[in-house]
Amino acid sequence: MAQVEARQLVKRYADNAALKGFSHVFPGGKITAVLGPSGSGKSTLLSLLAGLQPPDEGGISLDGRDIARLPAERRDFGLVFQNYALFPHLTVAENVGFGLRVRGLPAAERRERVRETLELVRIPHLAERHIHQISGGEQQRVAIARALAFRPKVLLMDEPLSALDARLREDLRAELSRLLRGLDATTIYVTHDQVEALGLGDELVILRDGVIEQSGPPQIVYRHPATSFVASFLGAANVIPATFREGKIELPFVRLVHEDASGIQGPCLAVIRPEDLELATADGPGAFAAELESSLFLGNRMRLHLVAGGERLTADLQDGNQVQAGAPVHLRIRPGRLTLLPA
Amino acid sequence: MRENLRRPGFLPLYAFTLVLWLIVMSPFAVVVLGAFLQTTFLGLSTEQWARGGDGESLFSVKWFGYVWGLYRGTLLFSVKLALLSVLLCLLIGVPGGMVLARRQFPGRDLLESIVLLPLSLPGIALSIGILQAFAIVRGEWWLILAGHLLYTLPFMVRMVMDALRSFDVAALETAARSLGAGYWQRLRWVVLPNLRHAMVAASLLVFCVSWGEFNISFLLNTPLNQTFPAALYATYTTNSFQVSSAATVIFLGVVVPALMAIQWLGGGRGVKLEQGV
Amino acid sequence: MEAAPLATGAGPRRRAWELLLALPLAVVFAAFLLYPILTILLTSLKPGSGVLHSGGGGSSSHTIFSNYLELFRDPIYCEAMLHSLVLSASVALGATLLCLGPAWLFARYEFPGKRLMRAGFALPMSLSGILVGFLAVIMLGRVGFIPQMSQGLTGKAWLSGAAYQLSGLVIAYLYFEIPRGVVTLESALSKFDPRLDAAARSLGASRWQRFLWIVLPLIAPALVATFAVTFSVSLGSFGVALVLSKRFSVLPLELFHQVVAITNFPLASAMAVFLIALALALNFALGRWMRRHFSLRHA
Repeated sequence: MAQVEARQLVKRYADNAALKGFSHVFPGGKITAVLGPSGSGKSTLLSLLAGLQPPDEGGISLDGRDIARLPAERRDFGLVFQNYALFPHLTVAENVGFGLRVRGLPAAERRERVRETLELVRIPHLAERHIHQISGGEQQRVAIARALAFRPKVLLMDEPLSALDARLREDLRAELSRLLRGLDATTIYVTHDQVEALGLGDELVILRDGVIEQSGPPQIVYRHPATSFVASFLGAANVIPATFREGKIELPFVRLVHEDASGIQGPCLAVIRPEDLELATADGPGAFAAELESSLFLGNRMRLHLVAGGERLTADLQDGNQVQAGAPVHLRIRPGRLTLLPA
Repeated sequence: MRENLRRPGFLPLYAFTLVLWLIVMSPFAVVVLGAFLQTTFLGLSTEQWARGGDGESLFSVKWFGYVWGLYRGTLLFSVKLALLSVLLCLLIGVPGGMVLARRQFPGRDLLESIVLLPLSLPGIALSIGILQAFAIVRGEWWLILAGHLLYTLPFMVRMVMDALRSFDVAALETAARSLGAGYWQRLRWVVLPNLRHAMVAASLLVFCVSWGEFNISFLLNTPLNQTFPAALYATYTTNSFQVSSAATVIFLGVVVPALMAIQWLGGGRGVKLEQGV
Repeated sequence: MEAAPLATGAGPRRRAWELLLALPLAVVFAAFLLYPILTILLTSLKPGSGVLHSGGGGSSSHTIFSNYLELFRDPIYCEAMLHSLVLSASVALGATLLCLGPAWLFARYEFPGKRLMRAGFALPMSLSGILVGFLAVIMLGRVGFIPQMSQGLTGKAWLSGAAYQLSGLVIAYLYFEIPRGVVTLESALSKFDPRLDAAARSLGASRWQRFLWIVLPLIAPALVATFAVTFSVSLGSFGVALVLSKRFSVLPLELFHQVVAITNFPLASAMAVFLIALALALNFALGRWMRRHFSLRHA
């Protein structure tokens, strides 16, 4: 299985750098989701990996072989574009078969492979259609099929679902997960959508301003964000100034016993996810009082905006409708769900 | 530029284009040279240069004086025609283009294609048509102007329509209406400001087209109302190459700055990309 | 105050008088375009009034189409027509191929001096034909710049008098058709989505494969349009031939001759109708073809 390694990649445009020394090993056969806000350099990273443009500095290797100077057409990397970039003058089957045609596969074999691939993405009935005759979701499937048909060593995906509407995106996300896990191909999936990144990635890379902010398995990154940027970019988070000394943490509204292995001492930041706050009785352990400012009904839960000890807090509660505006609320942090960051 | 040099295909394309461009430009250089030369031949034969050095200067501007004396009337007539064409195109073409771009009415598509038609018809054929249809007023100067309008209005109308279609004028107008703007206020504060650019560029183009128009002018002109291009033709057939060159340089002296201005206005979109490379 | 319908604002309550703003435009084109075309259409059906050239039919056996019959029977006119078609077709082909380079460069690359280059290319397009003819004479005439220069440098006058031969005519036509082609093609090429090329690269297509299988099919409409535009302009071009053509006649020149020298207006009108019909047919065919092409691709 193909392992892709990026070493100190740098890419500059006109006067500013899009990538400022990006290093990462993309494990073979795994899906790595690269998540970052727009302008973080993720599209640049993908085009360097694809070979569409050369890096200014740094190297890319595939299973130890240097490929940084290899042009895109000789890399055998499948690439799925944000807006699909399907060939408008070709049919669905011709689009999917394009990579096989340039490799000179005999027509019969080509037909067979195209049929197989279309079945994989569940649109064999659309083979003879023209691109403009099929829907956006179907075009997305064609784009994926086209990138898979020639059995690439590595699959690169650039926000493949971003052009679809919310409902379709959810359906396709589930299917993409099934498809990619069935393939065992090394996949690098670039997105700005945290739900996609968390759901699809075996590995998560958080990119910010052209460098990696944090990487690791999604659960770990979500549960233990390394910076306040990661904490608030990946899901919602309350980031509260705190002081930590000898197993005790002091927050503006409560003092808790806390175990922390990171070796932080003194002033620090506490990260609390909204879903890690729960209602408590006034005299319960670790309970603190807060004042409700506003609430938002979200269907399966209630989002509360509160103030406690002068700090703004956001809490997601299943049973939030017990809370009444103006009345004091008592909350507590779920045990073990507090992460400390250096200030 | 450095980025381009690394892209395969840029250098050969650039070299090819540069050669083609130099070929396209070279006659202009020669014409300008010819307009100032005293010798009757072009080229580098040594005896000519030697003769030029006999005390008599090789270069002179006397041909320009000659042309000015000979063709002053036609020059002024052509300028008058071009300016009137611009004025009439603004008065007729801008409202017309606005209606064509913003309104739906029976015959709209037909009118649009008729207005744009002259651009794809042979000028000489239309000239013959005008010549015959208006035989009784042949020789009137305004008939030439009308012919010029036929070839200039399409540009004005098309550029106005393109400008109006390049942004959602209907949405802007709806927004203005919701803010309480009446018809004339919308026209004055919303529609026209967005057209200013197109109107300036189109006016320059109209001026150039009218200034250089030959087919209609040539067939309809009389000794009294002769346009400068028609006079140019007479020069080419009867006068020496220095006089012809001088007349041509005068012609180009008007048209080139206007074309540059159009290019500058029209190329505004690319400004950012070109700077700093 | 009036109610503002959301969505478009193109409600039925809009002022009808606004349409009157287009009236002057309609009047100008009715009077100076439609009426003259109608006039030559009618004149072309009248008996020929030539003082020199009686042609095949003769006025005694006049039918309403006799001018057209004469146009297609007389070897002189047939030859002029053939010249026009062949000249225009070869110039259009040459211009389309040659302008592909500059158009691609302008559409896809940014570089210093680009605007100056484009302005230079736009220049010949806006010159009248006679001026281009004169430029050809001054460069390639019997004492033109190139023959004189080569005489001075090598002792042999190359291309002397080429301006007055077929080659000179082709070069002069190319001279103002290449810029037109560059403009037409550039705007079409700039719409070509570079990501398609990137997609083809990622699928392993070499430069030639990309050009043949992706770029060429997609820019074909633009190439056809460029060919059609340059062909149609060459067909109607008159000034260049007027200055340059000594023996080699083309149809617009023949038309001019009929008017000025022979004053055979009916025959001249028939020629004009033929030229206009040809231009219209080309325009129409191109429009239809493009529409079909585009509805297929971008529905």
